[in-house]
Amino acid sequence: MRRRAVRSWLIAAAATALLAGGCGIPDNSDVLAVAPGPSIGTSPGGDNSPTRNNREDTTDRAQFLKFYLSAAAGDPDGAVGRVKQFLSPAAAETFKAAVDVRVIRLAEEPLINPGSDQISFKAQQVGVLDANGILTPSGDATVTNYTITVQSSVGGSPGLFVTKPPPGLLISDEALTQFYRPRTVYFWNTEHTSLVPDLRYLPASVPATQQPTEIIRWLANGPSPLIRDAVDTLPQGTTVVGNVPAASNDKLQIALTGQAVPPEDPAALDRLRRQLMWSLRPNLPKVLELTVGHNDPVEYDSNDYLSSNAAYRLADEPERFVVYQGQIRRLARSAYAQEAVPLLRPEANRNVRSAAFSSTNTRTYAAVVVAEGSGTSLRVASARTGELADLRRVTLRGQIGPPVWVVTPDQPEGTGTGLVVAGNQLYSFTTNGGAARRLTWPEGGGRITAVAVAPDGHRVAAIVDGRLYLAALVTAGDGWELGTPQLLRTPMRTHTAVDWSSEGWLAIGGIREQNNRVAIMDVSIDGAQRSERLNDLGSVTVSYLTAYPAAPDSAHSDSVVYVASGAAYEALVDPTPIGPADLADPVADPPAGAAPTAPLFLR
Amino acid sequence: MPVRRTLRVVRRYWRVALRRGRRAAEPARRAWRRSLQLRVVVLTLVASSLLVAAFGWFVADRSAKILLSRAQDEVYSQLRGKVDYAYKQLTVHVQPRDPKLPLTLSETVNYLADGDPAESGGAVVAMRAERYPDLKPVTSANVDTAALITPDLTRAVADQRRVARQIRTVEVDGVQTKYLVYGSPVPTSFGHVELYYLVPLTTEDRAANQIRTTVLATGLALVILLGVVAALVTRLVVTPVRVAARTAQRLSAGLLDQRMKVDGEDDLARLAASFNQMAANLQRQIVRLEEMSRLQRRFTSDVSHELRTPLTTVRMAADLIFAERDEFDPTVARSAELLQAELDRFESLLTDLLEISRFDAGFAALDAEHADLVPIVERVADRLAGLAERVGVAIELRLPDQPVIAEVDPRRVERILRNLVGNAVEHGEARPVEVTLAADDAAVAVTVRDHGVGLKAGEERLVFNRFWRADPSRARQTGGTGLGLSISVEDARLHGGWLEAWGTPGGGAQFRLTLPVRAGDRLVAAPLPLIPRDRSGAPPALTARPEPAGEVVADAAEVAR
Repeated sequence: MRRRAVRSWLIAAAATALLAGGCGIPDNSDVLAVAPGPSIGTSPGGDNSPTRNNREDTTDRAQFLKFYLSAAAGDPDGAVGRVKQFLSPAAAETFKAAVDVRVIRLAEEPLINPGSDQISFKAQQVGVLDANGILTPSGDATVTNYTITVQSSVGGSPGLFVTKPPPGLLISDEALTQFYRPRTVYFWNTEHTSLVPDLRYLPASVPATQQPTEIIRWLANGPSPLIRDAVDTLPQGTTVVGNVPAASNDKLQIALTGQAVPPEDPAALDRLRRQLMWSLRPNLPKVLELTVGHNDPVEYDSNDYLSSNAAYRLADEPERFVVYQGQIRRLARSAYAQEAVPLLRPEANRNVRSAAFSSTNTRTYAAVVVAEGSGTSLRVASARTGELADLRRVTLRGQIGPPVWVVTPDQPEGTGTGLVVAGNQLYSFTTNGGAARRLTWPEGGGRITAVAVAPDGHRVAAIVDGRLYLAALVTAGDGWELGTPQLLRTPMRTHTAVDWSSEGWLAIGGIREQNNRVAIMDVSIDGAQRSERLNDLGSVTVSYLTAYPAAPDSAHSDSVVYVASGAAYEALVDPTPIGPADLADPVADPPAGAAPTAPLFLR
Repeated sequence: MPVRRTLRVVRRYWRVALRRGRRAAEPARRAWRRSLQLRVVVLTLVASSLLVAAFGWFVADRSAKILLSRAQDEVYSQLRGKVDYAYKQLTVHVQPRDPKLPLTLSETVNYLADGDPAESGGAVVAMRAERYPDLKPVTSANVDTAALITPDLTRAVADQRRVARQIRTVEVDGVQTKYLVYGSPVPTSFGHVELYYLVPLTTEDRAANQIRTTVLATGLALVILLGVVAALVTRLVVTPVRVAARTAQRLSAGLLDQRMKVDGEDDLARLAASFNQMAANLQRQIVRLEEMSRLQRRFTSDVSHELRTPLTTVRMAADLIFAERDEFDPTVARSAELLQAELDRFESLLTDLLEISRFDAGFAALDAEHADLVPIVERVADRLAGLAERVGVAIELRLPDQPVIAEVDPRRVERILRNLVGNAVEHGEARPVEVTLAADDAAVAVTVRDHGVGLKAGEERLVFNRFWRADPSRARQTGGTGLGLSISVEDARLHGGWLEAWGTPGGGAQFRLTLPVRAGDRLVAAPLPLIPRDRSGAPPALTARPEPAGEVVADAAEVAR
């Protein structure tokens, strides 16, 4: 009995000790494998960045210079480092440069004298490329002489070294096209009627998976200076949360900070997603999933966003017109060729010098310059599509050039303005007629000879004193104002005609600096890229040019017509005259010398 | 051998320690043996402690496990979300040498740690790339993760590409903090990096400790409560039992009117009622018997007294006739002689009866004085020498040389001895009778041994009965009144002594008188054996056991008192 009691006490004590120490959460435990790790998802496409040539890759000085002028191209963060690779250690130590990259265009082959360490070359500055991919065109047309000292085998290391570099980061325009991809991002105009394109340069080394993150960063950092006043910036504090993951299952997931959209504003959210979808269009899979702040993610999988870009809503096949014997006539082989001229009553369709048609979803706009006595006058009309309307007179003085409409497809009823050059001044007019409002050219005087409005309705190309300018149309009160113009450098000495070839390119006509020949060519709106259209038109001035802008995914319009010596031509592979036979209603007996002129498109 | 010596020393010390321990534990052991209540309480405490401890351990262990598993589930599900996010963030990097990768890593860690408090003691997110040493580990909080993320865990996560967990305790800002560390590989376009999520288990640990403390305290309280309850319940049962024991003791001590208190109708009440009924029955029986016995004694006494007066008259007349017997014719004279002899017998019978009735009435008083027993024995032998000579029996006295002083009533002791020696001579069959006297510090004893017909088995008790005869057919002529030994027993009892008999058929008999040296002392042993030394080898079946005989006598004496 006693022994049993003792044993019981021992067991009780042991149990108490166990209770006190045995249970509870252990201090340390062994490693326990819970589950296999997540499987590797499909790897997005590999690295497709262009091959980059380093300092060691060549001993040829001309090639070395070429390599050197592409070193700074690409990822802006590593630009200085890449340039320093080309420098001798001593030069690298003192080399300092801002992030911005100057893009230059060589004016001639670099001068390399055998036996000399110095390479000199003449170059024109195209613009300055900043970290946001904005290439700000340089207004300076001067050709600068650059000198660069290249030595071989510095400090015993083989190969060529730059011992005296030119200041700053320089890249050639060749490197720009080789190491960057032009990329258009979009901002909403201040009236929220249309997206305004903004041309950027994305380093080609950025993998496709990182492009959305980079582009949203650009959007957050604001628009280019050109359109800054004409568009809405994203709200302060808008950033992407982390990175935008690579698209998986045909879905791109974007998470933005809560500041991106004001609370309880579905319209702002819708605008934001349309802006994102347009800006990310090349990267966009089927579905975009957008998460703003802590809200639930919203998925967008339709193509309805496309309508937000006015350029996209242009018809594939334009309606083409010409003025023939003072009458606006439709051209054959174009859309609706057999229909009557829109809006104008037949009796009003006479003595026409030039005209402009535009249409929105619901309305058609017409501006007609008619001969009136010895001078000309501008008359405008607007009506529902398919209806006819009376023309109203716009009070203007001076020689009136061809008018252009500034309307977007979602133009609110009763608004709608146009621009016209009269007496070398720029005027705006409304559909109500009355006195035209003069738009002062911000940089003071100057003869304005041509004006063209981008499809988005907020960018204007103008020829002032024979030079090509870009400016933004900024709403001011009930009218327009011009933003700070940007001078574009083109190969032309004098520009005579301009229109928008697409949302990022201009079709220009003028006299080439190189050979004093008249030519028609396309330039990107920063002047960095060029594309020949009609190389040599002799010496006949292109007095007027109009283009039907291409859809946003192609750069150049395939409908460019111009007027030279009073006759209308179509800029195909060769200048193709438009004759009376091209009219939709053929003229039985065309009078000699009467040629179609002032071609126009319904935009 | 020193080992053996050491062992011996150790064994000796062990024994000493054991003995001391036993001595020290003796009071406790005594209490254990004696108290039913203590036993019940202790056993209840032990059993309930075991039960409560087992239950408490189970509860505390289960709750700790539940807390931990809930934390694990939660952390695991969070980890999966974090891994998913990190995977998506890292897919955009196709090369581990992508210069933007470190930025993505640190931004991812910051994002994943967002919502967790950044100060120490909060959850920590860490990303490592064991396979790509160029990528530096990123940690969300300023915590040294070297102790938390063990090489074992790293191996399981980075090499075996498994989601693994571990619990680690480290000191953070001087506080020991338990961390649940989860690790998972994060697949990327170029391989995989590792994400670790370290969550402090402070809340869970505190809750587990609180549960443990609560269970411990509750268990302790429960055990104590059970002990108290057991003590109370036992007390409820033991107290009436103790009362019953005390009442029984009092009853047995002769207080026949002692009764138990009957409360309620439960088992204990029934016990008390039965006990009381038993006591009442006993009392009634005893009182009835006492009454009968009293009546009998009274009758004897009264008869004796009533007979005495006429006997005196008859005696006087008989004495006259006896004195004048020579003048009668021989037949009448012979009748006168017979009358005289029978009257003597009758008188001595009456005397004995009166003496007995005096004992019965409790009037007998011990007139104790310090007396030497040797002369008393010698005097008895002298008085009976005549009779002995007549029947041819030699009385041998074995007396000590020194006087044997005891506090006795010499008259009664002499009467006992006369009776014993007389009987021995009478039944001695002409063989010698030995009278032995011996004494020690506490008692004196006298044995009277004869070698006559002896006693049959069982007769050694019967001899002390009143009017008992070994052979009823034997003429009363030879015997005495039949009351001698009864009176002797009463005398011995009055002294607080014993009077015992032993005998075997044909082997003679021995009577032993044992008296305390000091009157009123309780006898423990006799200086002489009851069974004679020459017969001590006899089969035990034929011997009367001294102790029971003594006790019977002593008990009888007590009851009589």
